[in-house]
Amino acid sequence: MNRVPGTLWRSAMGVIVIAGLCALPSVAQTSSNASGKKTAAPAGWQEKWVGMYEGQDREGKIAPPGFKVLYPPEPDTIELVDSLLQPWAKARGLTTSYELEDPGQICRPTGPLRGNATSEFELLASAEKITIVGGTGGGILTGGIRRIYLNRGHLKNPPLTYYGDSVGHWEGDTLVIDAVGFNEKTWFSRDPQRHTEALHIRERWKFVANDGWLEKTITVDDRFALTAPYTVTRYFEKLPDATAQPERLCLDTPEARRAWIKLYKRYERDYEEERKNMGSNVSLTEER
Amino acid sequence: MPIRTDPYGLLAAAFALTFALAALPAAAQAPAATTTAERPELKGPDFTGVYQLVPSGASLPGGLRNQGGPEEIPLQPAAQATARASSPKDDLAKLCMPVGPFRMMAWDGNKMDVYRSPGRITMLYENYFLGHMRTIYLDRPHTPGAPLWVGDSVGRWDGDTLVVDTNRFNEHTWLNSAGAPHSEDLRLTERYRLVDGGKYLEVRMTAEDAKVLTGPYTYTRYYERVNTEIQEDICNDDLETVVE
Repeated sequence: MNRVPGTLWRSAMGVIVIAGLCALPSVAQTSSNASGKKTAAPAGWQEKWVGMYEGQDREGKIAPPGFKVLYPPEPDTIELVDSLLQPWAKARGLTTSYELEDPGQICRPTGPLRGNATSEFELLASAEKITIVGGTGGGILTGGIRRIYLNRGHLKNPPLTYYGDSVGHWEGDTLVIDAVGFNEKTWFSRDPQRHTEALHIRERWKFVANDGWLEKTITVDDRFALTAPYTVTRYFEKLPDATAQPERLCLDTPEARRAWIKLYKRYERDYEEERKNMGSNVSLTEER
Repeated sequence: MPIRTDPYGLLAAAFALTFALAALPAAAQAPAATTTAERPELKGPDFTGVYQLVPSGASLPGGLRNQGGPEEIPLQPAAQATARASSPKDDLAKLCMPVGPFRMMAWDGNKMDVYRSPGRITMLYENYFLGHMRTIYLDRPHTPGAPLWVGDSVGRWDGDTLVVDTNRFNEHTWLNSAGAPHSEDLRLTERYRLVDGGKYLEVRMTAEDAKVLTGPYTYTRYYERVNTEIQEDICNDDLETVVE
């Protein structure tokens, strides 16, 4: 069932990736210049930005006083993405297995559109990068580690990764981020809403409400999976400096990890069997 | 359509609560601190940067070289027997689980980046499935709580040397690849300092565990400060390589 989009996509990939990667940085350049002017890093930004942040996925969908939540956290993002998914991408979602492919359930990073966009995280920084750590209940294994480089443009040929190649610059007090170079293993949301390697994320991060909250405006585009880009705004409350970074581990005992690996391999065999019975000659391992 | 269960969604909610509770005493303590007390990370040299472990056998300027290592740790007879009875396939590294700081800081090819934030120094490892992450809280006592994979680390400056004291380990990890066990009494002391004009970071790692070791054991490793970026390294990306 998902052979058609998968194969089409893959065969076109060589051309698309090369063309896309050449085109994306210049597109990003133009759009960021259109919306603002690059400036030097604001004085003392590291001290102001680093620390622990509380996510917006808490009960009650928190937002700073006086600020409206433009799109409340999921499930509304799910509905929004659903209205924009191209038919093949919807079909791809229907053939996606939670047990085998949901990164959040298989102890792999969920990417910048899930944990990083809703849950608590820690920001770390040095002169050349800002790093976002964690972002889900599975800790850094599912929340991941994303490094946003401040003194360089996109790599010419970035490896395709869960967190992509993220670069940022300052426009006054706003950090403007552009990310490309994603693999296809993460989803737009907690539902199996699938994107392609053409996923392009543009973000504007700034402090609001007396510097007590970080506002992230996230614009997501994927010309092969979506019919149009979408934008969401999320708020994160900055916590006191002394707030501890809790140790969290997905499947946190050897017994749990072993049991899960066994289960995963069984699911994989069952899935393969099921596909054979359906008369499909597509093997899951080939697909992946 | 498969029915979805989302353990991490539920976990996230639970952690958010833990998180909020953890923040409360911190907020109460925060005022009335002096600048140096608020920013103890600024009392010593800046270790911020990307580091790569120097291969064993390499000789550095001034005759500096890696010395000792996890494989040489002296075990009491009962612990030796436990290690002999272990199988390499029980090594949690093969399950992409944390190996603990004692093994990680001597792990071949280990690459990490170090950050400083108010009151803490953070180490992130390229292979973060094995290394997890370390948060070293400065000028703060140990906190009680459940045992952890990377322990509870507190640090202080001894001149230009960062002295890190870590306890509260769980008993899942080994002290080396040959299955050397440890107890929950394991205590690590790490002494970090920049050498050769800041080109290298020296770590002297000491393990103490009266139930398992014949005495304290120390190894030394050198990390080169490098001008490369940390890559995304997902240990369990290919589950075929993970043992069942």
